[in-house]
Amino acid sequence: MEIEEEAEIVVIGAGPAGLSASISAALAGAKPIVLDENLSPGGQLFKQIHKFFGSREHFAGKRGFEIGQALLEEAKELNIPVHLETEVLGIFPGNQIVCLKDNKTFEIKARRVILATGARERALAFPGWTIPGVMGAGALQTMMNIHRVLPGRRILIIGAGNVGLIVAHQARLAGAEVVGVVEARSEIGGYFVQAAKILRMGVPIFLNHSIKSVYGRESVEEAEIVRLDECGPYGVSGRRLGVDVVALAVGLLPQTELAQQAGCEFQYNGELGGFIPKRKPNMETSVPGIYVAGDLGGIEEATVAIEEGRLAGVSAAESLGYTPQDKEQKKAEIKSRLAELRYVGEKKSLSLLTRATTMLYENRSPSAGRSMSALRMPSILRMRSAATSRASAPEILIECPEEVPCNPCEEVCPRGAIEIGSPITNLPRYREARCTGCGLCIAACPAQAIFLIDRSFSQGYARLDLPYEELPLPRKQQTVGLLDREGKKIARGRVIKTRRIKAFDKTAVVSVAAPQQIAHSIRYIDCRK
Amino acid sequence: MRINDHPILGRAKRGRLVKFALDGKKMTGFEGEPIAAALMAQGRKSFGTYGKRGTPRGLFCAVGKCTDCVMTVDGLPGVRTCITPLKAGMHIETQKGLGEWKLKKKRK
Ligand SMILES: Cc1cc2nc3c(=O)[nH]c(=O)nc-3n(C[C@H](O)[C@H](O)[C@H](O)COP(=O)(O)OP(=O)(O)OC[C@H]3O[C@@H](n4cnc5c(N)ncnc54)[C@H](O)[C@@H]3O)c2cc1C
Ligand code: SF4
Ligand code: SF4
Ligand code: FES
Repeated sequence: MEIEEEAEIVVIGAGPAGLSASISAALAGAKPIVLDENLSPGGQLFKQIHKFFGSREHFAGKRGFEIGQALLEEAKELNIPVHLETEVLGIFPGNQIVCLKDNKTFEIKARRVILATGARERALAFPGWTIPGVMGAGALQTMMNIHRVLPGRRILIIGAGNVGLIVAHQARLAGAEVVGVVEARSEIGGYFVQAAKILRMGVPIFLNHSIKSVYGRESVEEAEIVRLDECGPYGVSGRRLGVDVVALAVGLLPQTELAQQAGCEFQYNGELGGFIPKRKPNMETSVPGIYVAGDLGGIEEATVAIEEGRLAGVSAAESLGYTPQDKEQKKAEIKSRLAELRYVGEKKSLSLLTRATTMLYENRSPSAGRSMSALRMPSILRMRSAATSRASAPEILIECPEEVPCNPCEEVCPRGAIEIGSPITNLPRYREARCTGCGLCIAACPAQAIFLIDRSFSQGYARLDLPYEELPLPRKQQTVGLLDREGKKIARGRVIKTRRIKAFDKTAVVSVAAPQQIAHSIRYIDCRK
Repeated sequence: MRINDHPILGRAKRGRLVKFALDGKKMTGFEGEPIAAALMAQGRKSFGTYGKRGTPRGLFCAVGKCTDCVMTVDGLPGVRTCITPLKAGMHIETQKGLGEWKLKKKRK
């Protein structure tokens, strides 16, 4: 595809922010083009194989790569040129954009520029960090989910933010063993539901721990982790774990080079990832005609990146004289959705506190037997699941105790048996009288936090329906291990059936028969021999 | 190790199987996959050594940003193997430090 020498709007970066910016600009009547240095468009989205949080406007419940595909198709329908393997080297006065493609440089003159270059991973230095096998968590994702190669069989992850927790889950789906997730703080940084999802698979989270050193000649053979306490990590000898990959999930940094070089003013915001470009409410920077959207403007989420992109696209088009239909209404809608998402952002620090007090973490010293820092459910939920109200009909258990910006469970239920309402961060409320036990919500919940229990199944046994995404799928009549919330095997049970219908979008719902007395504690199954 | 079947992504779609050489040894990989993927699929993680200390280095970012994965490809040193697609007949060499230019001089 020939690249234009002049363009109305040049969008740099084809991630969720850049793609949605170009779409909303095109819908307003402008003619944007998109440039990206990657071989494929979609930014971070194409590595993400899990179902996303959010609401319907944010494609909630869809998997990251599917959201990427949907945005790309929309861009294609609007005939927006997306030029790949095109790296932007600099932006010069008068919005003169210098690019590199096929080892040749050339310039594009733009009337407006939307920067959506996203973020890159932070590294962490420790003795042995250069040994092959130590890599970014994003690198591990890229190898597993895009190139379909597993860099190792026994993986240790550093950092229990959402990225670390999600990558741990993805590594399991790819067939690796996850030896643990190490977190220096005394609490996880990610959402509770994401941690619960891997704990029940038997992946330990080592809180108050850090990586001390990695050993290996040609590649990683062992990692030494230490418990952090008043004395600090040094001098203390840690515990050695046999691993062949150590993946670092210690945060993202906005890719600000282009914005800096273009002369945008910056400000410091530690929570959003450090130095970020200053912006007006319409996403314009201090340099007239240059807009910023997505992770570059502060590390948040794809949902926020999509909304910011939409806003930047509409604003840039408007400044060129295009008057999109009901633009004021559109802008107001975008802003209110952003506010709802941000409301969560602001409350995050608060929820971290509540998390620390309501959820008990158990920390045993690493030398003492099975060192696992278990994450416990709040006591209210525990009581609720133990003493079920109705013994005769199936009922669902929702273990979603923390405010997350998410509502697929409400959206998918054909009977209105789950209610979240507005704001989207409300906790789900269950009206059991309306529930038919169809199981749609079990597969739809991105956090796999919904389970079904039917105590009327047989005399000594209850039926449990659990979400399951690993391979191989359990067969009917197969005997499997029954695991509790911490991944401990507490009994064995028989598979009644495995459903994996189209509406479940590749999440299987496995029904198992479990002894009545312990049925309420079962959260996962182990199909491995 | 290759991930052929995946519970979410399904069966892997790959290019045609091609031959290439690693330090003179014959190997195979799939056309179009990054050179680094072809090597790691066969258990090879070390791609060269650092100039200063001579210790091994390998893939770190997988998106072309860090240069820890560079090797000498067809005589050209410093090629980022994580973003360079494999082609049939490539000569790939482990690279020490910055490596050496081994390009054959073009005759007119
Ligand atoms: C493991 C993980 C899990 C996540 N899970 C969720 C989730 O469940 N829900 C959610 O909402 N969000 C999630 N996110 C966050 C989400 O992926 C990001 O917030 C989002 O992708 C940011 O979008 P973006 O468009 O700003 O940047 P990116 O997606 O990073 O895209 C930036 C693009 O710009 C291109 N680019 C950069 N520099 C240049 C240049 N100089 N020239 C040309 N092109 C350039 C890059 O190649 C890239 O394609 C997750 C992220 C990770 C890592
Ligand atoms: S099982 Fe079906 S009816 Fe019951 S809450 Fe879930 S989706 Fe609604
Ligand atoms: S229970 Fe509902 S709100 Fe909670 S994570 Fe699952 S889908 Fe989202
Ligand atoms: S691994 Fe970083 S450039 Fe290749």
